[in-house]
Amino acid sequence: MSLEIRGIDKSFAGRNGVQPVLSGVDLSVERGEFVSLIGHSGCGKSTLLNIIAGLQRPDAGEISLDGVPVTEPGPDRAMVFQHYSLLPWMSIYDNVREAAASARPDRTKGDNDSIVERYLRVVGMWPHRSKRPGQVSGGMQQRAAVARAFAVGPKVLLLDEPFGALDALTRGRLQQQLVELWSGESNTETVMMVTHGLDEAVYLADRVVVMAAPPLPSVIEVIDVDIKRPRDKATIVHDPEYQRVYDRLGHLLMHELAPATGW
Amino acid sequence: MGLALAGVAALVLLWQIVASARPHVPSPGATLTELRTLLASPLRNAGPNIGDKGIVVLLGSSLIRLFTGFALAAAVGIPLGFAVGAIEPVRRATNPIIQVLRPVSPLAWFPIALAALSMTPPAAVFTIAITALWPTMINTAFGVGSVPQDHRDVAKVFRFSRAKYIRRVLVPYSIGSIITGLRLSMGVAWMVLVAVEMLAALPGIGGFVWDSYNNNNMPAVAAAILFIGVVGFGLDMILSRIARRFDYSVAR
Repeated sequence: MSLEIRGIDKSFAGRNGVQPVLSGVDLSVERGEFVSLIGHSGCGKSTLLNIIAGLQRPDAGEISLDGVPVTEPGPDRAMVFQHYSLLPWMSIYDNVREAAASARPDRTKGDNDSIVERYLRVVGMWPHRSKRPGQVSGGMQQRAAVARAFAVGPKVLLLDEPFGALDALTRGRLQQQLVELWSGESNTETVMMVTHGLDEAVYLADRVVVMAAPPLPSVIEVIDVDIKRPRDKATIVHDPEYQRVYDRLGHLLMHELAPATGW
Repeated sequence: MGLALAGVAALVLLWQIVASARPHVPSPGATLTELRTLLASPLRNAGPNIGDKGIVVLLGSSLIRLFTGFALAAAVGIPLGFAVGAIEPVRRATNPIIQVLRPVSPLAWFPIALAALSMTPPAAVFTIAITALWPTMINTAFGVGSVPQDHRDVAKVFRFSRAKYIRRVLVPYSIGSIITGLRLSMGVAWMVLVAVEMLAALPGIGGFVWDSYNNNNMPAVAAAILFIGVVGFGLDMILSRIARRFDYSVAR
């Protein structure tokens, strides 16, 4: 499923008047691509993701999936949120089942239940399905949130800094599970991930979109990551292509786009 | 536990000193004797007058009045709170009314209720309902109006129907605030009930206080204060137990 982003502008009304966040975002994402969005705070990367999800409307421009304009949330897209965002009063199982059932009313209950079970097993949360989110670790909550998103069977998966709050080991395992799900048994073809991590952006993506805050244009540079899959997190750092992209990103974010303060 | 006992001992000592200095203040000893008398026949129900009824019977009448008013307040206040919290035009239309009526002592409603209902018992229940209405409604509206953006985004992305949003997000999120509102309501309603029963000389623990005063039986007034305190504490304990069952704060 190809995702077309055309001329997206978005501003927010703030205390100091109207603050532009996104200006003139153009991006084409091909079927089967994994794209990382990276940039400093305020560059609008999460806003762009929300617009694609249909949670927010752009002031101008259009998002379309295979030529069909997107204006509201739909079962062709699912999202993994930064703060897991499981509903704390429901069991892990109910969180996934209820979300998948309402996003996909076309399924029978039996179909939905077996899909939910499959993804909870894949992420290793099946044994913990009766627990409430507050009773398991952050990493486990995010695994459940990943299962919830995949259980919808979306063509496009949207990830908003999904692993930012996790420790390095947990993050690594989850990244690997994500890639396996995306390239393996799921129907998900396209992934867009907002991240703050340079290594994560390069390791996972086919292309990295570097974004900046106004008054700069929103999309500064799109860098192809020409490393074949499957990729090995341990050895990829020695790959010259990895180093080339990583260095270019580091140069852009820490020199050319470095915020005036805070670094 | 040791410190709690020390605190009680200090209070009783202070009480004894004050009682020795002022002859009309009931002493701890006299109050204890009165407590024994009251507890000797707690279930007595010999006639319609306050003096004919045992202390537990009187407390029972008060509690029935309290729960009736409280239930009325919940039945009106919770749905109203949902409307105020979830629907912006409703909030704006009702906010000035709520802000003006909320600080009014509920006892001020009693004469109107009495005139309208022409009997004291339902007028007292109405006053209790007014008392309990505000905290119930305001806390419900607060809970309903403060569902985090995260939860609302989840409901949108996964396309929860309106019914499912209410059942799976709005109600479970607000239940904590609603119970807090009920708990506050119960506390204030219990206080106001004693006053309203005194005002209306109704058979109940408040009426008992007034009746004892008129019979110049101050130890009975002091004993009634103890009963009122213990029952109020018990009511609060029950509601705080219930509140704990709906506390998901570990995961919020």
